[in-house]
Amino acid sequence: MSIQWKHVGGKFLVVAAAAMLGIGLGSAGPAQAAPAAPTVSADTASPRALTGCNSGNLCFWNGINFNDGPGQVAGNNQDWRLFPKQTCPSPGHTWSDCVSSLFNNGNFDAVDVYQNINYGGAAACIAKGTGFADLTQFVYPNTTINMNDTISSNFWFPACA
Amino acid sequence: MRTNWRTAVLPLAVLAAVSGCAVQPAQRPADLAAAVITANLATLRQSWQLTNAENTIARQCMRKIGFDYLISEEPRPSVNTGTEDQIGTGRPVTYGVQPPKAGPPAEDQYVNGLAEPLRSRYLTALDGPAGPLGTIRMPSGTVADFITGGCIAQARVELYGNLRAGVAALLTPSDVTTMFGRFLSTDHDYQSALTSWQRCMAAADWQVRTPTEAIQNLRKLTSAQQLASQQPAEAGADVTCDGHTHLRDRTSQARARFLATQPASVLSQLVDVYRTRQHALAVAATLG
Repeated sequence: MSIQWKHVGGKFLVVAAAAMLGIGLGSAGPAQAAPAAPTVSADTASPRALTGCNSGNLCFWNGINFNDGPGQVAGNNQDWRLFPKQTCPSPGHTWSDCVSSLFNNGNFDAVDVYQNINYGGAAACIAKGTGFADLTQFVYPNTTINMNDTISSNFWFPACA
Repeated sequence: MRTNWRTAVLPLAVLAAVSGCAVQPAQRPADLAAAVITANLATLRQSWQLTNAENTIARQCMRKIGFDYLISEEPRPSVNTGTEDQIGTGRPVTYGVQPPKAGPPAEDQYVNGLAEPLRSRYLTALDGPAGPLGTIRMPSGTVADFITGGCIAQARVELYGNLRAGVAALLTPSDVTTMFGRFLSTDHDYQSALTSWQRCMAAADWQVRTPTEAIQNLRKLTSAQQLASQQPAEAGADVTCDGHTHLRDRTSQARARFLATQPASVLSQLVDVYRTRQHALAVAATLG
């Protein structure tokens, strides 16, 4: 079971993802039961899949190709050193400076990821429904800084500029 | 009746946009490629329009299958808005950075309020069933992944013509801009102008390395009051400093030099993105 961190009302909640996501809070349901979701064929399919990455979250993995994770955040988080991950080699074994692949599985927004805590340093925007399986290939825009094992905070925006 | 009207008009609008419709003079591929990697008011407004259109189509898709999709539209970028590549023309000049919103988006609150198994059905409708991702190789050679199902993917198909083209339109500008950033780091004329711009901004008490960094710093502000005072002051200093150093002009000239060094395959991909965006803008215009 994966663990996710949700930023709600200024507090971080640790949630056992698979077991607890079913807890509903209200009755804002649709007018009718949903028929099947539309399917769209991509002309190149990847064997990679987002196992354990919950819809609505930014998901990230210790390894490339979405291996060893995911950690997940739903809100803005200014210090990923708060999120433990035993297999991360970073000091304190946290997700800060540990991510090698990520996916924006958000429902609505794009997300900026930052090199440093407190939304500092270089930044990169990840569009909704997209991600990168191997951050060793990527540098932050307008820099020569490789994104692998550097991300330390995130902030959601309506869209990438 | 509405469906019939759309069925008849949409292909004509798209055809007109894709063909150029003889309204505009023919543009060189290098000009089209440059337009894709230039952040100015026109491209900012296009992105705003396409984001809203994608959300609108996704909402239509969700409603067809009995769900809602809550959209919160950002203000249209005004003529006051300056960017990395263009100074705003209206006054007071800004960077178009909006104050941070309190709490999560309405859509997230709505989804989090759904009880199971409704919530799972909703998310499957929006994002598609869990399954293989699509992949796309970008001009730099890097590979990106994308979801291929649900109403978000369906909206991209309807807006951009096909999913791959839509994802390319979303990701390619950033990818090539990153390549351009590496080019700029060794471009003497640009670096000279940038150094002068940095000194000018520092003299006005703004310690920033690039206009991009100035904008990013404002986006990180959590205080609306601080943003309201800082944004026009910093953007105003940028106007003055750009006037002294011609940084945007030097950037534009460097962009042309950069594109001249690129292989035909990269230019071709950028031109494809340009045409895809034009197609999507024509579709967006029919949404009302």
